[in-house]
Amino acid sequence: MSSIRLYLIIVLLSTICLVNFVAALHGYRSSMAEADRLLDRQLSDSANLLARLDIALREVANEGSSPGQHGEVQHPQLVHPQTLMFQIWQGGHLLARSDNAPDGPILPLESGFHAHNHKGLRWRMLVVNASIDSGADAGVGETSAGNSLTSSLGGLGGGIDANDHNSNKPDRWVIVGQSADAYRTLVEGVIFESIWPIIWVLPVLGVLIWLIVGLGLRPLRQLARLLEERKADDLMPLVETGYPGELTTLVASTNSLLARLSEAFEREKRFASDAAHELRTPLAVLKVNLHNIAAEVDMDNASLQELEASVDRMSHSIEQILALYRLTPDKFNSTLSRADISALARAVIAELYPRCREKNQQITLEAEPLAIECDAFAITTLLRNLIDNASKYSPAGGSIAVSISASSISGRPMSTRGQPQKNRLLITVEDSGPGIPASSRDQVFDRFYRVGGDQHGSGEVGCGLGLSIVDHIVHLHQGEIELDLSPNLGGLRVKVTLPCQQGAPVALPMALVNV
Amino acid sequence: MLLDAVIIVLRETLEAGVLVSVLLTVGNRYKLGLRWLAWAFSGGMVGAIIYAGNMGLVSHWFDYVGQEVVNAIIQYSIYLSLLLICLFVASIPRISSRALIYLLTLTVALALIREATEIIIFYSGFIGNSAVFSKAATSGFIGLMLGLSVGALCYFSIMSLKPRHVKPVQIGVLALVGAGMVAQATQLLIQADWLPSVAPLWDTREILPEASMPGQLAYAIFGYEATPTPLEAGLFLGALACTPLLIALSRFISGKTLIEARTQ
Repeated sequence: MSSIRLYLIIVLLSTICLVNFVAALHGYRSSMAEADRLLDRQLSDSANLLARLDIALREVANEGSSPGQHGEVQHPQLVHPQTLMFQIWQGGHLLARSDNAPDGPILPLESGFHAHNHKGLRWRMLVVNASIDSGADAGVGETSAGNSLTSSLGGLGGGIDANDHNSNKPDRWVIVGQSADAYRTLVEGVIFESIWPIIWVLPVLGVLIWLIVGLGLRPLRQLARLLEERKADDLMPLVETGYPGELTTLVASTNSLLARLSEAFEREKRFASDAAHELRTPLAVLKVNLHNIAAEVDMDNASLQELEASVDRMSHSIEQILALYRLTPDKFNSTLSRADISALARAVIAELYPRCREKNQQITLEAEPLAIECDAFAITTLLRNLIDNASKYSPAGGSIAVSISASSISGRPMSTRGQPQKNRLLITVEDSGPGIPASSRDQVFDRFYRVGGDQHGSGEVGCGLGLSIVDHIVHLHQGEIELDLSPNLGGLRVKVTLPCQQGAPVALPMALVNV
Repeated sequence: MLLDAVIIVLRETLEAGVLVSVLLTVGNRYKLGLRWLAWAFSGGMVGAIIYAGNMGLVSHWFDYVGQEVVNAIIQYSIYLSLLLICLFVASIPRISSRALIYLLTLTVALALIREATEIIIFYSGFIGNSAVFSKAATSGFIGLMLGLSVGALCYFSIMSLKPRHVKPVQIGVLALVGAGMVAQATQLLIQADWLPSVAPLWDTREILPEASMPGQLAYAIFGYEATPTPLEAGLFLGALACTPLLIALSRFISGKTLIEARTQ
């Protein structure tokens, strides 16, 4: 089920169609059966009426049945609608007929209802022996309209008896029929008129269901939007009031989940930072003791160096874990301030310069003095990680180039001087090291990932958190990071783009620092 | 006239609706998308128009029983396709998804050719008489909507089942529809005098009239016939039993192959 709304519309419309149309068909069948009964009743009434015309007919018959000029017997023809046909027979002679009826008997003189084809039309016929008394109409009692007919012919028999019926009266038969096709067409037309609205109302019903279901699902959409718009670090419980009963359980469950998540995150953060804090002091003591042992005891040089390297790696990992903890979103938002990125870069380069000098590396900083709204501690950590990495993985005598400049996003409005508005800050760090293969560039942002695995070829101290921290800081500032090959130095080039949260970067007096 | 048109359209669309809805749930289970259905509909409609357009010629085949024979062949083919789909759903022969797409497309297209041809032939009789055609079209629309509604409800009913019940229901309904196709095809061959016509085995017209709505639904699902001959009933039961038997046989063979492969 891809959409609740679509599901409800299809299922509701299908159900409505099914119920309505089945009811319509049932109604159609019942109506047609009732119409057939009505037709039979109408035929028996007509037969009754025709039988009551008996005296007049007999007189007309006595006059009209005399041989004509050509010796033919002329039978009286009565005016009638074309959908009705009748004959009145007495003693084997035709007393009267409708003008659309033949001279001969339409049907064998057997009492009852019959279906008959005449002149290409389907007729419903009734044959009645009008000379018998009220009890003699059993032959027609088998039809659907038997009861009505019995009653009607009872009246007919009574009428005949009252007028001229006696035991010597010859057999008299009334045959009356109505066009079944015309009658059914008429009735179907009436039924169609009642079915049309059921069909036409379907699209309207579809639109109404669409709107009503949409309205009913609005609280669900609102809840979804509320959750969607939440920041990743916002684990505050949802307001539990104002939702329909069906959603209250969901909101309560979500709140319970959020509470558990919040506790778990807090526990994880506390554990990492507490563990790092707790390990920091014994590690410092360990380093001092190691230094003292190296000075006092005559130890194997290689083993001592390996031990020192391990302690350094552990110390570095702990510092990085602490840096990650300090950069959690709740701490990040509270420390935003305007800071000069160039000044921060200069400070980081100054801090790392002894290491560069040890490896006889040249480091340059080309920077426009620019200030942006940022977390100064986070940006310092970012720069330290990038420059430290560049120094670590560049060979002795290599080069490192750091540049900081303002840039623009294509498609943004031009400034008043016709130049694109500079609304981003670009930090570039290039080195002359081996670089990172293109296939590994996405993975280096994963925590604890190092190119080449644990057996890192450079022999440098590292724990695989540096670029992960950089990536984290860039995302906290809603910036972008890109790794590629340095066209000038041949090693890795890291380009960090940071948007300016409030206006363009503020330009400070120009400076070019060459260390 | 209204009822005749409704029953003719309903009979065809109900059968196609139930079949397509179950096959849609099969496609949905294997995440096959809906492209195959579009192809099947296009192919089926084109095939139905061509078939209906040449019905005069077809009916002259096989000593003037061509229509019955061709329809029977189509229905036996649908049964075979459904049998293969049932085997696939039961995950016995591990054929590819592509093969399943071809099978589904073929089955729906054949069913549409069979069902839509009847409707086209019925309505072509009213062309030229707009008043009657309008009434017949309205009646047909009622039949079409009834068929589509049952199909949609059938689809969502299967989709809303617990996952472990979906496969047995799919196989069960497909086996019933397939056996119904065999019964209908057999009836057509009896009408064509290709198979002997004998007295019906039973008469259930009083209990469940074929023209009633439940009768139509029963016809759509398992080819309900109120007065079946012994041959029809026997072939229906045989076709119905074929599905579980073949599934069991395939499972037995594949299990044996697996044991042999492990012991080697």
